[in-house]
Amino acid sequence: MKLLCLKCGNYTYFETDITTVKEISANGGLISIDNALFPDFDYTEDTIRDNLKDIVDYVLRQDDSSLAFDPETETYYNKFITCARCGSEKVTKPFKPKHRIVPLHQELEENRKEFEALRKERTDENNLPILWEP
Amino acid sequence: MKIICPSCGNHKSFLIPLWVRCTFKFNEDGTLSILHVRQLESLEDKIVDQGKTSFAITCKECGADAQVTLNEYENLDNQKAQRAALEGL
Repeated sequence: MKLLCLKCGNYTYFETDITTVKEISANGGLISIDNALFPDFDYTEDTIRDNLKDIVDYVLRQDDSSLAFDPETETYYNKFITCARCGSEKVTKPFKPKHRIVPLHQELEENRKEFEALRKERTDENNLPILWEP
Repeated sequence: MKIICPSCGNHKSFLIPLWVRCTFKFNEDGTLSILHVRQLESLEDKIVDQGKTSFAITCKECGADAQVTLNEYENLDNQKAQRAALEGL
């Protein structure tokens, strides 16, 4: 489960708006719209797939710019992906983002013994290489 | 209507950016599958707005902004009208 709709509980089907590129061909006064085909790839399909993956990865990363705060439910939800079942915009990751409140120096102190034990395992630091013998 | 690239003279193939609404699902293995793609913009409006926005039609060959002439006979009509007016005088 990567995303969850807070309204209906859907965690599978979602919608988002992305940009793609189409090709306009003008022939004899007639205009036709089709996929933009290049010799070795379909530019239209590639842009749709790449842009969709980009926006999903961006929302899953959940930094401040991709989130909005809802004071009603007191939760954060993303601004780009909506639920495809109920149309709700309140789609978020199924857990709250963690905010570490322990200061760094306190964390270092807590882990000092573990670090010292780790350093003891590294014997090469205590045994310097012998460059020459008299 | 006529679309032409002022840089390379191409008058056949152009690229137009479009906003689409994409419906997708998460597969069990974490990949994405696209279920539906719906166009959100009117192509007619985009062609008419060419040159007024930065979201423009570009040449497929060289990437330059295309030039859209909606009524290519407009100048001829103007010339005819001017000639008729002069003849009237």
